[in-house]
Amino acid sequence: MSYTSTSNQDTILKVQDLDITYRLAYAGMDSIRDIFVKALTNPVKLLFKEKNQLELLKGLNFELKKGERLGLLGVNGTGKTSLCRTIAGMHGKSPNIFINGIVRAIFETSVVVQPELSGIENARILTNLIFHNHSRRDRDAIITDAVEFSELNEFIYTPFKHYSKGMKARHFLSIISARPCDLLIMDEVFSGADTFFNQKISKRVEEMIHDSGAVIFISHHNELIEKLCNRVIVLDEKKIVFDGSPSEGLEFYLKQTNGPHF
Amino acid sequence: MSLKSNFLKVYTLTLADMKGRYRNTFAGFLWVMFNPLIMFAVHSIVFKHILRLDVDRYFVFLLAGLLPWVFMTSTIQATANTFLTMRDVLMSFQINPLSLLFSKLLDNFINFIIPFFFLFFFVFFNEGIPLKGIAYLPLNLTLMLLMTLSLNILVSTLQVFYRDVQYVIQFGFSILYFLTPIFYPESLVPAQYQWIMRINPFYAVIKPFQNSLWNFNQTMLNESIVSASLFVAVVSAASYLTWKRKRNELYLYI
Repeated sequence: MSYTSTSNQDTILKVQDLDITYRLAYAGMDSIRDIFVKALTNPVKLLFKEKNQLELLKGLNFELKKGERLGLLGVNGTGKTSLCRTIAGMHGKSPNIFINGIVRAIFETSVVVQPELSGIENARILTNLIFHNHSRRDRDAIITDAVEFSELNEFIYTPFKHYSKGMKARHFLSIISARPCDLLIMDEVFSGADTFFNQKISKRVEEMIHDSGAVIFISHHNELIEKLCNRVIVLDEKKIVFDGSPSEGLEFYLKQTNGPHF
Repeated sequence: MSLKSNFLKVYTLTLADMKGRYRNTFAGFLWVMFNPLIMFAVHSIVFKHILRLDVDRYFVFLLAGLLPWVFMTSTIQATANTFLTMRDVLMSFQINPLSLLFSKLLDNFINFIIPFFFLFFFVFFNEGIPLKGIAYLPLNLTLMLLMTLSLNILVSTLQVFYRDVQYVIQFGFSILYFLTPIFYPESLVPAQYQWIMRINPFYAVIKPFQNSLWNFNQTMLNESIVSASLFVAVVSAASYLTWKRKRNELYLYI
């Protein structure tokens, strides 16, 4: 995805005065039946019900330049994933986000598009969906490479519904790590794959990270943050509370959370 | 994102849906094809031969009314849960949720168009269809597709936030089935109840089919096309506004 270009060629991402707020007007009203019951029992309360809002981030500002690999830290619920989804354009186009180039964002690894179809067929589907801006020839090359790399062997021809979570993760990670991009966003992508494959895929993902223009990386493994990132941002109370080097950022975060219990 | 990229995504997902559904289940493929044919046959037998409904060229009438109704209602019901069943895909990487709905619509349309044309040729040679009316078929089908897509977006979005929407829809369709002139002509409806027909969005897009294929009348056809276009515009606007308003929270609730 590529939208509103930034002026500076070195700047891959510019986030300017970004607010992320969710309307939670549906709490306690999960069905039409609930609304119907409330409309009959207390119509006045229903009409004048105060809308709940969840304000996750407010007035966020930061830039990401070419070569920066940003580790995003923060306790659960501070808006890390929401920020990444917003940058990736999953919540629609934002006027507060400026991106130079193509963004690829990966949030979960056990993806099933069509469980009835085989691994190779799902690989074709995922490749078409993720690498839609690549040529047909390159997409074919990605599939061949991913199938070989995943070492799923004859399993690649069995229906996807028979795959274990680890096999699905192998399958998906082999595909997404095939090509770098301008801005790569990864949220806990190393979970799921088995230990041996984790080492193998880690190496390949690390290569992809280094080849990509800029990276935003979310992980609860601080050693990975320290190894892969050259900058850390810590989010807390709707804002950036730290922006600096990984070692200082992790120290700050550990102090903030009172120890390494994340 | 380019048109080519969007086309590739929708094409890939449509093909995946079709392959997934028919893999090892040829009977499933036959069922999807036969479903409208069986509905057509049952309605013909019950209303034409048993209840002896006095409707001229009843096969054409059913083709023009029943088949679009079956397509629209079955597509909306089948796709109501799309965002929830495709949660894994939506949560994993960037994909416009609407492309999932586009692909489901296309998949259902392909399943519809084959039996539709099968029956079309059957009634064309048995009862005759005016050639002038046939020329309006692409426009009528487009209006039907736009209405179905708009309702799909509306229903699938609301289903994420209110999990019983699909049951409400199912209940609503069973009532609307009797209130929509698809197996009886509108002329049988007493004047004081005609307003029910006029506010029915499904009938709004079915009527151009009836006016072009069954009782061709240029003036009535033009009026029904204008009315259908207005209904499509209103439902599309409602659907777009709902989508725009709820999209932000979609990922929290799926």
